[in-house]
Amino acid sequence: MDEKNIPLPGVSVSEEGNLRNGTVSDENGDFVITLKSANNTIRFTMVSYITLALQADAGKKMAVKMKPDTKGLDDVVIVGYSTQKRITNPGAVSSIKAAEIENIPTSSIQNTLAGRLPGFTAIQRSGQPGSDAAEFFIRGVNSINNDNQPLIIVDDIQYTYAQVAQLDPNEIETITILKDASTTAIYGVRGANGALVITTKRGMISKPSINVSTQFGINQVIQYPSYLDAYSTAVLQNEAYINDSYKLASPLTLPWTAADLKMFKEGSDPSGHPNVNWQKELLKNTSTQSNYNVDIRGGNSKVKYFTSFGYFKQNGLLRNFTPTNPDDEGVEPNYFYNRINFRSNLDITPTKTLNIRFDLNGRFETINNPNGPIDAAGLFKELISFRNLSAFSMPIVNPNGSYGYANQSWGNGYVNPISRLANSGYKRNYNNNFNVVAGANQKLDFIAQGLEAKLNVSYASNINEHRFLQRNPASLPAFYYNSANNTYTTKGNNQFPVFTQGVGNDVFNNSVNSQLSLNYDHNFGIHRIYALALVNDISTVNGGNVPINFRGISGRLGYNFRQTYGIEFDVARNGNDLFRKEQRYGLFPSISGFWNLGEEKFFKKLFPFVDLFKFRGSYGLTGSDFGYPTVLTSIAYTLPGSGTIFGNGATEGALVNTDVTWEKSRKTDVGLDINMFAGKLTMSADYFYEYRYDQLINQGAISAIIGQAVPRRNVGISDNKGFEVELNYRDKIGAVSYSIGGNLSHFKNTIIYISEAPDYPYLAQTGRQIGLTKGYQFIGFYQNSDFDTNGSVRSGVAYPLWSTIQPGDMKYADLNGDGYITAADQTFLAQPNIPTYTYGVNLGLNYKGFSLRALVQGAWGYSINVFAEGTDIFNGVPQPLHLQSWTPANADNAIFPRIGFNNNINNRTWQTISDFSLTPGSYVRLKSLELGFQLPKKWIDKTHFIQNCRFYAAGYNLFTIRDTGKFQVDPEIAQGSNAGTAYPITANYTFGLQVGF
Amino acid sequence: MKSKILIDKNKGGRYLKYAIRSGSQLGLMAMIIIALGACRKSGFLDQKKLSQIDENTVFTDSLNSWNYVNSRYGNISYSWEPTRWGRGGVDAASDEVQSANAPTEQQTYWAGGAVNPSNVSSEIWTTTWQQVRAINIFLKNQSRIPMTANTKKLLEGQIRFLRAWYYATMLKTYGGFPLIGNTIFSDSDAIDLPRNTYEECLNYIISECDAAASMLPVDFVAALGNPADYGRATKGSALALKARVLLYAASPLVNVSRGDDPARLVSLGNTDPNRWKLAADAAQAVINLGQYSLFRRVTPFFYNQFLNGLTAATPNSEAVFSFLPATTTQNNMIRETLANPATRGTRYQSTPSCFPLQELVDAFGMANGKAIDDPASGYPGIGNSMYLNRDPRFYATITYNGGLRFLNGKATDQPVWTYTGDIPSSPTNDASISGARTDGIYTSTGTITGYFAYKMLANNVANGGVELNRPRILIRYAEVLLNAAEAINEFSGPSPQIYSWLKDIRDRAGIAAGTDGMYGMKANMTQAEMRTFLQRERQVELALEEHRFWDVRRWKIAPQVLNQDLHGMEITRANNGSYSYRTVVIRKNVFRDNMYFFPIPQTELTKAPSMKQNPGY
Repeated sequence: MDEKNIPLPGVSVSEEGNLRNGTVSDENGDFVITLKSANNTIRFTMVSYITLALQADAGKKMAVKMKPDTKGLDDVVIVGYSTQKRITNPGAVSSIKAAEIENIPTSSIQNTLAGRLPGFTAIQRSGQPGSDAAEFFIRGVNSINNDNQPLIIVDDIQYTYAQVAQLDPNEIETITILKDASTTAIYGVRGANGALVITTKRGMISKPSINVSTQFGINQVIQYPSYLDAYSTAVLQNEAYINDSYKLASPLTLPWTAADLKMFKEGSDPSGHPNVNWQKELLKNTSTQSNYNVDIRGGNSKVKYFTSFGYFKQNGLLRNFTPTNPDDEGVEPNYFYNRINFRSNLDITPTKTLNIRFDLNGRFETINNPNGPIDAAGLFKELISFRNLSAFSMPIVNPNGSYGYANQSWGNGYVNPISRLANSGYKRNYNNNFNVVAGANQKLDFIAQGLEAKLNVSYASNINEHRFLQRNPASLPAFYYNSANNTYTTKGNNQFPVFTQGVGNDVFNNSVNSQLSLNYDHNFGIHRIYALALVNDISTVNGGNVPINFRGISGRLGYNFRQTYGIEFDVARNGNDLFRKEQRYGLFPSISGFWNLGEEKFFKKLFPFVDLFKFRGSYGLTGSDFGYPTVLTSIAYTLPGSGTIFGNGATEGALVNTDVTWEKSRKTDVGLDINMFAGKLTMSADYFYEYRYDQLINQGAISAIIGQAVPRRNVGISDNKGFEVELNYRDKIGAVSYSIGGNLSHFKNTIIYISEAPDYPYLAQTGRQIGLTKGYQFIGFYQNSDFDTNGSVRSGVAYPLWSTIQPGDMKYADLNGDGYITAADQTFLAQPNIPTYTYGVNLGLNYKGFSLRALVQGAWGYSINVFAEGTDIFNGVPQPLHLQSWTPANADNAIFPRIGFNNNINNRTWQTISDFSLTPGSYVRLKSLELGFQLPKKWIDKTHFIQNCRFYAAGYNLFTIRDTGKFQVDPEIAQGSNAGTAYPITANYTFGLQVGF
Repeated sequence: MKSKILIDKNKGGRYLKYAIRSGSQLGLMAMIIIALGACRKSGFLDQKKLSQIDENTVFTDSLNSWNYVNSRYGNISYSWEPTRWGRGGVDAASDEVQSANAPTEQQTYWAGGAVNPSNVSSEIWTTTWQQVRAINIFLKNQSRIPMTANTKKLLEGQIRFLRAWYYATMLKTYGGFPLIGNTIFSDSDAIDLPRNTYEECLNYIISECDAAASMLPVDFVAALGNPADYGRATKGSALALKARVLLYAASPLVNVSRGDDPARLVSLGNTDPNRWKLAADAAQAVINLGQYSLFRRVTPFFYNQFLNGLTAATPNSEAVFSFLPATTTQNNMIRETLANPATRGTRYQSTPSCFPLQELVDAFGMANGKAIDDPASGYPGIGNSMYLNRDPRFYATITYNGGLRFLNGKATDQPVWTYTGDIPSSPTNDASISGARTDGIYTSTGTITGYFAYKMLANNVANGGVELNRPRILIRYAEVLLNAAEAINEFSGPSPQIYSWLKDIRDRAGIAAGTDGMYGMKANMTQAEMRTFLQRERQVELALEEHRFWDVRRWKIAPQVLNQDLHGMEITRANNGSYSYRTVVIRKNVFRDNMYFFPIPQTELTKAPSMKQNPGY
């Protein structure tokens, strides 16, 4: 039983001195043990409890009370293929228990991890239901090669980014990231980017407990961009036409007369001079989501089980539009996501030494998209695009109730979006994941005490399919209503098209993974020796392609003296069939160790309040083959149709590199772990340095005289260094228990060698960070003083040749000083789009039945490049930013170039990339908040069947303070032309109920 | 928790121990069997064979080897293409045409004087080396191709001629380049080669032309008996290339000693008048083959020579060397796609993209053969009659306001309108009335200069008209005659032979012979007069055929003709239907002294420090 006299199942009970004679307490906390030796001492061990050794009296019943271990020294952490205790772990590992995140209302597991795990960077690029999973990195970006995806292992199966996103948090037990060589070298050729290791819940010895939880919530868009109304847009358009008339013999005719402007302003002609806030018309502020889970967990000494079933549904932000054809009722165009998932983890123990595991789990997802929008980038691109949906592009409906279309020359004839969304059907993707793991774990104490063998065979499959039901949105009936003479003009052939249906298979892939391992761990008094040997086979098939096979062996050997000194060797020798036979296998060794200063006597005397003071360090080699191509052994010739009249041709293909090998990473890590005040204060700090070499990169420094495309070679080198600090404090004041914690991570990478031939030193990438944007340095606007009396740029002022420059145009630095702005004046700008500093602050409070958990998360040290529609006026819908554009009167305070309609290429941010559109970003987010209330036991005891009952309210992305410069974008937005066209990120609020039976 | 403790040191323990051990052994056995099963597959990591064609497959097969040679023709028109640099090619970087507004394209850098080693387009450099590599691979493998020595000679002759052709383009573009012979580099070679002198490269090209000429037949169809071989490089092609390269070498640009060119990359180091003699003899050798004559098969001759499909059944006696693209619709309509007025659109692109400049228009003389600045020409000056009675080649080269062109839906050709001002409306959207709305100057879909290009365009190909197999004639006999005339005039002054060639050219063009039979030419011109005359004649005869850009350089007249404002014709219609005319500046063209040659792309110099840049860059 525990300290509150509640029966404790699953305690290991064994005979001291003869540990292989043992049993475990059953679901009532009872146990029976037959002792064989005379010393009559029984040892009781249980995770998170202090180990007890008690004298037993023959034939007598015994009551054992175990005390929880608050110091946390024996906490188990997961390392590659094995586990370690915090006190003797030499590696850099961070982990959390799933209980901390299971109520956070987001569908993607990695979204909940930002700010919780030091060294883990997650960036959520979109809020679309089912596609909102954050991209993530461990210790940032290490490879020049776009090869930065960590290895993801869920219950020994390798997962992809997309697959891990779909995991139901309710199924998860622990989440761990492995960061340094000592923990990742064992993965060999796949370990260099770190590993995310997830374990799911398993059965335990207890009475069956049934948990039912439901969650209902709303998603609210954090911030819609605000757009200018029709009047302001028309005024700016006139201004643009005036500006565009610069130096023209006869000025352009303005698009809007004073009477037009008056009608826009007064709204007196809603059909001819509409003023529509399309965002408001098409989208709601909120949508709903719900989540239901049932799980049953329990077991006895023979069989343990955890089964769960979950259903998640998240709806989209589209308003509900009535289709023109009543038969279409039920054709759902709105975004939505639903997921059904199940898991059954079964452990069978036929003999005391054999454990057989059989896990089945699956996830079935549906992601829905409206088919209406014409643009490839979808509705949110239309909303931000001036040619599609400006405030005056068309009325919502014509006076006679028909749908209109944009008939102005700049409107491109777009049909009314409401009609398209209501009538054009949907595109629906189905993702099906199904996994089986079968395994056995055999204790081999009869060979050597502490030895066990383990076998796992897993099959994972992923099948994606889609169906669409669509009408060609461009041919839906639409009418242009001329309010001046009250006439209707039809657009094109006004037929209401029929639905066409399409079905397709997109992806089928599966992988089979077999592992056989021997694990050894034994204490000889004050000496502990542990070892692991593992054989691993993975065969991955993508569609009908030839399988990619991976094979290797890994080993670990460790020694601890007391718990004070420890040394560990890890090694992997593995490879795959992408590479040539002669160099298929790589050897990846690492060494690590710790010194537990806190265990030294003098230290204990000096600092009795310190429970743990451990230095640790590791150094080793890991590799990465992620995204590598199959090595070609000879140059392929093609027999193409010739470009000449003489018929067929033949020609040599690109040169090949038969020596392609994986990239390698030398990782160094030093860390310090401290526990103080009986576990109240814990701290970890790490400094790391990683040297990544043999990166497969393009050979940019080979003369074109070679006359053929050259292959990539393993010549790239970069490094990455940084630190992570984590600090947690927990305590109790009266009935209030609380915890507070924080963590900060930083990384900074540098390109050391990249094969390049820069025209100018400032065009070299060597010495810079990975992933910088190439562009011009924006240095302000051309002012009137830069022009001569003819209106031409004064001599001595650099100007580009790509367009005629006028006052108010953007000015760029002439880096090579030739008097012209040309492509040679570009350089690498600012910072990459991945934050280099991330942090999180955790808060937990418990008072009687009440609990409060909060996480504040933030990042800085990155930049956001928002170009094209996100910035450019009349490419994008005008925004308040454009009211602060350059005019002769506002020359000093302008933040935007002079307004133009057929805008000068010089000012188009998508054609002339510059740091005008690149701004440093930073943010602080109240990432999650949960307030819960557990019904007092005396209330629910009256029901006689409910064990516990808890209500809670939780939120995600609740509050954001951000700096995104002049842009109205989310601080986590992807840069580039996707910026501003992604589904907006939402704040989610939910109410939940958990009942246990 | 209340538990019962039993202590039994003997029987139970032994039983338990046995049970554990046998259970363990069974479990272990089972696991080993399963694991062995999983690992049993031998060759689990061996690469799977996927089919592949390689060097061996190609050169041990005669058909594949022929195909390999065919592929080497693929880029021969790379410097000539009107689509080069997006629109207009080098024509738009000279005083011939204005490209549609394509501000980041190469011709803007050339026209504005802003070209530098970083922004210069590198396609000639890279494409040449690609083809040279491919040709050297052929030469390495040719001994094992299973075919007769005679046939093999025909392949080798073509491929060595083609290498000379690509190198000749390189020479006029950059000057000297590294001569690599038959080397094939691998990516582990450190390729850092210095450039050879202009003269060494010149000599190499000449000797390769001579070698190719010795292997090639004068008539491929006759040599192999297969009409499908019409259009391959012949002896005449090789000799004509040699003549052109020698003419360039004799010209003032390189036939000189330059203080700023100590490595003689872009000059020959001395001025040797005899180089004109070599050029004249080389051109004469082509003429002496007796294989070529000016095209006079379909009237109007000058216009139709470019549209004549190059096949053995419809030969063009003037085509010395041509690019014959595959007969795809797009290839067949390439010129129309670029140049047709919007009202005559094509199915590929309705916005035209290169427009003749007034400088080109004014180069055309009158139908009587006299230049418009000759008082005897009868040219009325700017006004309603300025496009009347011009050199017939004008009408085959330029579409001007009121020029008659095919219009879809009309039985007869209708005028193209390029004016601005008061444009009549047409209720039926009839382009013959209101076409200026789309074609007119200052409209977004119309002309920039007041003109459209017409040379090499089929009048009725637009809108589903007849598509033709459209050769691109890269060397035509008229050029050979003009090359010969120029070289002889420079070496020894005007001769009756020169006059007779010029009369032939002007007669074919449709210029009236006149009562003196001189086709408008002044008799007994001085050498200098003849030089000016030949320059004008080349500008007109060879307009838009990638000659002007190079000619003004090799004659060293670029500082005069390219460093100035270039013009267009603004025609304004009043509401009474009358026109007013005004020349307007289209662009301020800049020519700097370094622009005689292209700069070597800077990245190439960074990769190969032994290579030196051209003077002035």
